Amino acid sequence: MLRALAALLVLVASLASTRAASAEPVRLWHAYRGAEARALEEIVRTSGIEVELLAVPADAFATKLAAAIPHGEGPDLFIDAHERLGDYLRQGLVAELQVERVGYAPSALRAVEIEGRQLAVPLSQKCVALYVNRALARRVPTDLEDLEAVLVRPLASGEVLLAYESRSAYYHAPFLAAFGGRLLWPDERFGFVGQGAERSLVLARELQRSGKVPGNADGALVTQLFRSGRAAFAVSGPWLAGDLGDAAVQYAVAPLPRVRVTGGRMRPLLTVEAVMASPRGASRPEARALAALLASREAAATRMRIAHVVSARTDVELPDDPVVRGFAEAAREADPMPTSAAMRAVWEPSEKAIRKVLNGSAEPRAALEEAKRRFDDVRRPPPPEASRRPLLVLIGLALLAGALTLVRRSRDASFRAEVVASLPAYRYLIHAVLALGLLVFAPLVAGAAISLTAGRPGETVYVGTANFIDILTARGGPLLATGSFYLVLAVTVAWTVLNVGLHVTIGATLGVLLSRPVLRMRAAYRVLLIVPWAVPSYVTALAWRGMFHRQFGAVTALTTKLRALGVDLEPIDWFARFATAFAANVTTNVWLGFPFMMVVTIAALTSLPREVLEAAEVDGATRWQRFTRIVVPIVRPSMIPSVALGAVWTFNMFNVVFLVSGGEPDGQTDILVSEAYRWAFTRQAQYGYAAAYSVLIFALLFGVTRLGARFGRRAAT
Amino acid sequence: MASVAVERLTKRFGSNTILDEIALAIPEGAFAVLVGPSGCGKSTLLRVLAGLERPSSGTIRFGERDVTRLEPRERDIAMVFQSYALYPHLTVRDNLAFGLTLRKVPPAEIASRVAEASRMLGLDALLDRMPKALSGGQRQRVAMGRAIVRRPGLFLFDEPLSNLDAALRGQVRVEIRRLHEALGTTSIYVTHDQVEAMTLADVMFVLHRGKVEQSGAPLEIYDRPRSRFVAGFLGSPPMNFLEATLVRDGAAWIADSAGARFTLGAAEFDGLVSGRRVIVGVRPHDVALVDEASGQATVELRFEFAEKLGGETYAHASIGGAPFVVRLEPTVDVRVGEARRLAVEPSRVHLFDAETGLALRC
Repeated sequence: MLRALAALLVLVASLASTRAASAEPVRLWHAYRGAEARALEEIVRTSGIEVELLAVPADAFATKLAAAIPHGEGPDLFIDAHERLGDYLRQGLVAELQVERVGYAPSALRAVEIEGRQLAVPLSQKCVALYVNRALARRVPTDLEDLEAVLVRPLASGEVLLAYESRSAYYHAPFLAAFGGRLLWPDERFGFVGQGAERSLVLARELQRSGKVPGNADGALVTQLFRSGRAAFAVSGPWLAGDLGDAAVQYAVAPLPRVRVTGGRMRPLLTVEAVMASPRGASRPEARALAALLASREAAATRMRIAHVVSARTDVELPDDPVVRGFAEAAREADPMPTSAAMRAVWEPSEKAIRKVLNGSAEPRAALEEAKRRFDDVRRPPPPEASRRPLLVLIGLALLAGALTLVRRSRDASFRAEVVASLPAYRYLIHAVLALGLLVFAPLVAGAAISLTAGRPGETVYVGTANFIDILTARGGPLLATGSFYLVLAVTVAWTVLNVGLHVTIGATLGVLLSRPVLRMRAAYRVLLIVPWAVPSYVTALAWRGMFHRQFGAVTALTTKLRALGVDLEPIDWFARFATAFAANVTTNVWLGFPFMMVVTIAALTSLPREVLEAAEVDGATRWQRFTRIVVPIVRPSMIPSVALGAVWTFNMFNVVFLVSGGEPDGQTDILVSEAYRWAFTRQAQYGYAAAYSVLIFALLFGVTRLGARFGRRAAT
Repeated sequence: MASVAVERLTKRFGSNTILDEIALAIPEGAFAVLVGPSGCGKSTLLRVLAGLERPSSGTIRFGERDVTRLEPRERDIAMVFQSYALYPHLTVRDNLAFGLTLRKVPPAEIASRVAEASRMLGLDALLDRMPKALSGGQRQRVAMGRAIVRRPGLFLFDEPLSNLDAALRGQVRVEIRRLHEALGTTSIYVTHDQVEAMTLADVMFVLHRGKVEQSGAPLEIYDRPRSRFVAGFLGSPPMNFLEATLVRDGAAWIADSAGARFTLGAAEFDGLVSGRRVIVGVRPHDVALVDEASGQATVELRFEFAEKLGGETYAHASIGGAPFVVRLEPTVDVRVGEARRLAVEPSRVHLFDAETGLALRC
């Protein structure tokens, strides 16, 4: 064994030395797939530089970089979208990468510049453009108002004029630009507010109300409509063209039109894919050479030839592909996406405002002002660094008290004897203690510790209880404003009570029915009714979300069927109002939760002797009296722990809330856990703030269950 | 209080006939015992009487009331279950009061009735305990008390002593009989224990395979069993049976079992035909050891071993190879392998048909 280990060490050492001796290849990370990956491989292969290529999944790209580069690992070069440069720069993941500034589109060069420093070399550019269905439109319109005028014939039912993802801020940005607005101003002020923004929303709402634009469209619906020829126009990116490859529809791609009332052009957001260098890569000449080569005219030509992407260079001849030409033209009119980290705080409030206006639950001005408040709230400066002294004193006191107790107890001879006697037992406990400590207590303590800090990753400071104070005072706003801790808590409590009540009622009723010996095929029913429990909850949640879809959901199909039978039911936009969205969540969770209570009831009922029920029957109890006076009191004690467990699960039922309503409308159906998630992962990575939420949830549940246990004991005695 | 009349009562589960045209007639105030081996249908019969099971056909009358289709709570009965079936979540007091509370009896009345029943059964000190804190005997008494406080027209007992140990069983048996004397309520008691049946019953019904094999006063059944089954079921140790052939010997009739000859009291039997195959039945208590010289008609037997109970001795022996048990005084010295002679009073000999098992007694 030892010899084998020694041999291994020698082997590793020799490998390391040989590696250091030879020239290391340039490591290049990318997130490309398909044709783009093929184009990159082709360019690298013909470069003559030794390159180690690694494809990293796009959604893990940033975290992998952040995990590798600070430790001297990871790539020398990596290809990513320019809007992440701000984040990367702050975390020290990128270094300046100078190139000759000739031959590039000015917008692409602007995109990779932060504070005058050129941080990356642009490769290609992506933005949305106008897809024109040649079967329905005579020519490419110049104005948005012309869309109808260029139609070949009036649209039939089931056809739409313009398909785009109207509820997305990314797709609304061109409308905003036409009215002179921006989502984010260069000085990091929230831009989606004011008269221009309001007018852009009025326009979008008008388009939807008049039926020219389909409501609630997501990417799949846009693709489906345009692919099947049922949309005269669509706004989408190159990815739509990828989905149209084998479709019959004949189309052209053109820059987005102007809006006649302002004369402004609908300028889409531009994403520039660029090659970036890690600090180590920037210091390696061969890495810089590879970056230059990747951005060269030859490489751009290869990329356009193989992957049909629009190059960031202007000195490359465009291929004879109308789609690429269309996108190249569109890119010239596009605004680079801001690189500021503040941009990430823009999306959530903007989209909430857009949704509220489009579904008619708010006027543009109110919705946008609220969005600005939310943005400012998320972007508010972190609390000032607090003195660590109180915490240290507290920890010191706790340690002191612990030590004193230990000393006092160890003076007790019988206690010492007990400890000595139980020493062998610790040998059997130690692995469980270690595992539990590592898997349960350490994360718990770490979470609690994070709740005392603030700031984004990499620049966190200790702020004491400032996070808790912020949460409990609703950050100085009204205590019951949307998104405040107390309102979310109220929703959570209502959610828990309603769900557990329905779980217990439905589960217990079915349990009682299924334990009646008179029922035929009980076993079959039991299995069928346990199925909702056996399916993973996120699958169930996604299925229900689909069923509640306004246009294509099963629930809507049902209302349509009922309408055919003469029952007048409008299709409901389930997630547009609190009551219906909440009802959809509750329905899903009840479906998920009742089998557990049913199983618990059946188990509890088997412990109920038949003769006791018969004794009650002879004693004169009616069926109802037997249930209320015998069954319920006997079964109750064994069900209370399960109900408590169910309540805790429901209180923290993230899956359903996040996947079914997603907090819609406007975050009103969010519960504490999903709210904590949003603070951590969609609002500027405020981990400290999110951790404080978690600590509060833990404290609430801990307190309530302890109280419940105490009351339970008192009731039992 | 009520008499009980059951007519042509049949109960089937699927194709199984559990009760087959049962008829019972129990006079008002009597203590009736349904006895039989397990599976004879006695418990099912009791559950049908209680209303917990529906009969397939037949009628049940309590006094003048036809209760065949009534719910248990409409029958004015109380039942003591084998497992006692106490309400585990209620104190002894609440267990006793449960039925009265359901019937909306005034609280003062409930209190006095509970006090009375607990005094009768010695439950006073236990009233505030939970059932799980009681011993088996105490639970049994609570179950009885729960029946008594209701003051029903009819008590039903479903093997109430079978979960008690032997010593307690004898004691409670006496208590039950005493309670019956005090209350005078018509009672129906199910048991498989023939000692309980004999000691408790005013009127006894022996059940066998879903039918009433014989009914009447216990001693009458014991002395004049109608069939080999009844004869063998009652009495401990059970009656000895020997296969035999009838033989006429002058004026007397003899049952000859492989050379062992039992003289019969001819007047007591019907159908004495020479050469008929019969079963001879003799209870262990109805024999006496005699000397060779006594001149009585005797039978030879050979001892195999003895159970000495102190007050009496049961000697296991064989007659012509067939087992035979005799009860002896404890003073008799039994030697294994010894051959002795046995005298049987002709009037104590039972005869059964070899095929049908029915008694030949007239």
